[in-house]
Amino acid sequence: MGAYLLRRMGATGLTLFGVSLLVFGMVRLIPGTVVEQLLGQAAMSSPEVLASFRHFFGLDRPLSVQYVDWLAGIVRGDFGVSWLSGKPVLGMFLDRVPVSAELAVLAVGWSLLLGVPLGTASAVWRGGFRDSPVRVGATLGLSLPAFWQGTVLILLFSIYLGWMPSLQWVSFFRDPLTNLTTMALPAFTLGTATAAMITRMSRSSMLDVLGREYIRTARAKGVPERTVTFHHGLRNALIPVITVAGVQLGYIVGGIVVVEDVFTLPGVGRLLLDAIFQRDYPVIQGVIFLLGAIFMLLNLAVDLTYVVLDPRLRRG
Amino acid sequence: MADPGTRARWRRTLRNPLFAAAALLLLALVLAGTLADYVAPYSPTAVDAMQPFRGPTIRHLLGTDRFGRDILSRLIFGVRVSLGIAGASIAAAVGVGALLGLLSGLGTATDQILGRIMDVFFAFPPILLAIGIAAVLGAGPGTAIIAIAVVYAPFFFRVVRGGVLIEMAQMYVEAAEALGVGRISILLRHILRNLVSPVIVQIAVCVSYAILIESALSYLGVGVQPPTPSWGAILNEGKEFLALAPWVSVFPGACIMLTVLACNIIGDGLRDTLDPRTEVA
Repeated sequence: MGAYLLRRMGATGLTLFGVSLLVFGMVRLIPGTVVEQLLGQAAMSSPEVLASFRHFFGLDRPLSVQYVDWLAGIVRGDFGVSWLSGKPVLGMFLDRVPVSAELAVLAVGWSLLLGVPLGTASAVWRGGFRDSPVRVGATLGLSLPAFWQGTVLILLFSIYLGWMPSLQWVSFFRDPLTNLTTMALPAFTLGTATAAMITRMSRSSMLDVLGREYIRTARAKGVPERTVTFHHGLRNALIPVITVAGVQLGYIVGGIVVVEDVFTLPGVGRLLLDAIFQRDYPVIQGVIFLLGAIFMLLNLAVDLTYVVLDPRLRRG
Repeated sequence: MADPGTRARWRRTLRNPLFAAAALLLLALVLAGTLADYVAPYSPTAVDAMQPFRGPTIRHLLGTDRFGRDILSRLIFGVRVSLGIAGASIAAAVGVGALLGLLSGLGTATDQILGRIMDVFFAFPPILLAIGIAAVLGAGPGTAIIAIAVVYAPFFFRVVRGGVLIEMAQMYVEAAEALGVGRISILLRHILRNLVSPVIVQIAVCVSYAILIESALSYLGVGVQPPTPSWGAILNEGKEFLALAPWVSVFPGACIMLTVLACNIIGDGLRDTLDPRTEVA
């Protein structure tokens, strides 16, 4: 277990280093883009202005020096400052985290709560008249573009039904009811594809497990069907589902950007998009790196859960 | 491909009405996009100042937008943009991913390096990576193609590399090597053909995600820009006038959903046919 943990963490560290190179390179390797785009025509006409700006932002130093400087900053928790507001990037990011984290937790929560029982039931009902709607629904859920689903929900609830959730986001701890009414539609939208994926995976995993020898043995021994389904079946079927949930976290972290835009929620996704439109490169760089890092750490956590649930993997 | 099991599975897949309907829909879309100049009732950019925000009528079957442009015509021309970008980006992803996957499957040193690099790309949530690339390169159709190709190349890398490793361990490879057949020639003549099925299955899965990502990029304003009619961009244009003219946003979204649904159904069918071990739905 210890060796596995160390190896897994080492690999994560290495990948994180690669992520930092990629994020840094993405912004810097395109020659001139940063300052010229920031200054526009003025820079083109005056080389002195351009040079002074490049110097001010430290862009006249060799790339390797810039990278090491940036990386050293990250290690100290310093992600630089926004070119527009002058505020530290990390602080701006952390300010926005509660909104996005709540959105992600609610979305993953409802999709697991719905997907696992629905997929399991669908496997038990295999081929029956109750199985088909679940399968069709899951395929449909996978095909819904989140931004359209969100738009249609807004249309339906706010415009046709006149139900107006507060547009101003408030913390759950200050006003739980307002908070949840604001977050309900976004969390529903964000979790739809994940719920569909988890339903499909639970169904196929459960079908696979129910066809195993030990299930037949359990039935032959006279174990009640309910115990067979839940104790022998579901417990084993859940392991691959957790892997899928882990992969889905990527879609959740990415989907946050889209859903926050649709519902105008002040989360990290909104921060990233605003930075992109304002060409605020330190913010873009910092937010993408942090979201990538968070996604990797979540994946690491999922992998460890997996090991705890399936002792066979500890030796691997 | 010729074995009776595969043939029976093909027959079953092709007889599935859902698969047939999805294939027909996709075919119709491709045809409509190709023949857009003849099929579309209006030009996608023809402005009619007298007809802004008209609801669906006989004259404009799916209504008009704020410039009086015909939504149906924009959606038909949008097929070219949306499916074109998805197709081009997946083609690029297959090319790059498969080539690197083959290289990686062959040599240990390259495998170590390429594997680490691919891990980095896998470390990003797909849409986030695409948004990041689009942000750096600037909005446009070329950017969308590159962004989506970069996101999905690692998926094909993984499939091809895994396939090469499995096949290389087979007895027939050992036999061919013993007969003095070179590595490259074994790869080209024996291994590649065994990789066709898993790559097709992976393409089927990735195309639907590519369509979703393209439309999301265009919706967010970092992909295809107006007035080019991408489905995502049209939806975005209608967002501000949702209460006034919901059809501007509702119809392009329905287009995206139906297309992605068709791709998913075809993908499920292809996977069940070509790769029966991983049957899901």
